[in-house]
Amino acid sequence: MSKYTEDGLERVIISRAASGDTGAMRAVYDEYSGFVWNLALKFTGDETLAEDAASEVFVRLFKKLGKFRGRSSFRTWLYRFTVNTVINFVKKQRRRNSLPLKESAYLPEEDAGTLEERDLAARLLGELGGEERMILILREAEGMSYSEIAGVLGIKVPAVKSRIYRARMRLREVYETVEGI
Amino acid sequence: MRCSDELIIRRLDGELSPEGEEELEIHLKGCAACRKKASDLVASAGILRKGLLKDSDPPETIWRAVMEKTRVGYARLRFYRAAAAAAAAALIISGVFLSRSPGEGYLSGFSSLVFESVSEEEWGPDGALEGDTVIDMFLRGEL
Repeated sequence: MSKYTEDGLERVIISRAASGDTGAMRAVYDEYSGFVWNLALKFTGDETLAEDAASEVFVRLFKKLGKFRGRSSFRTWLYRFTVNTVINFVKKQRRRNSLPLKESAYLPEEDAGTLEERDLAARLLGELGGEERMILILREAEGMSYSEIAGVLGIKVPAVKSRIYRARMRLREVYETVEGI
Repeated sequence: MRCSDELIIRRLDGELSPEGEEELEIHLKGCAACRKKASDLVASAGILRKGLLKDSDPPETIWRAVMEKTRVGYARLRFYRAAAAAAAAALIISGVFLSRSPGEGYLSGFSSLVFESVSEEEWGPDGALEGDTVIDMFLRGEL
């Protein structure tokens, strides 16, 4: 458990951040920006778009923080908030600019597979719909369990299973097409 | 056992019992179509895992953008509040001028309504309030 989340400290920080305390806002940002940024980057496949999406998440988050009622853990609530904001942000951007998901746009990290593997991953994901893409990122890249995904998406586990099933079948179709080229 | 995409996917997600796994294995040996499907599903999931595995640190530009937009948001909110207060004050001041000749003009009823709580003694010789201004009283919540 990090210093941030122990002994109800998180609740205090959230409440201060909700009232515009910059130090508390920074503490929330430091705790969750890694998740938000990497999810946005994996989803968009584009650094610039991911930066815009991640900043949109935090700007909206600080506006809406006062609405967090503590029914679920803050982490789950924030993950759900991030997933919805990123999907909607990219939808809006696409409508405005008809952006395709870029290939080779993922960060050139040495351990993240070869450039070819990253290109292929981006290409496969680019052919999926937003929700299919997101659920596979949560499962394959974030390593979340079905019940964690259910919490984040606010749906039941059987619904997660059926969505993952459809997303995997769709991914396979795309893979067959790409492989055949 | 019949062909089953669902079983293939459940195996991929590690959700199949050892018995189910064995049964599926036997089926796959005799069914080329399912074998191909299973192999493609494993390969495509593997590509995502490898291609998306590594996380990186968020660039500091995100925080700067957030602060900039949040400050603009707060500044806008302060501006709207100030503008609303100024508008309210302007409304009250216009009421003061209109109330100089009570009974004359079509807004005299309105001005007397706004200032009905101000007693006769508080008005100066030319109709202005002595001492505190109307705005001071408004800000103290006395109006």
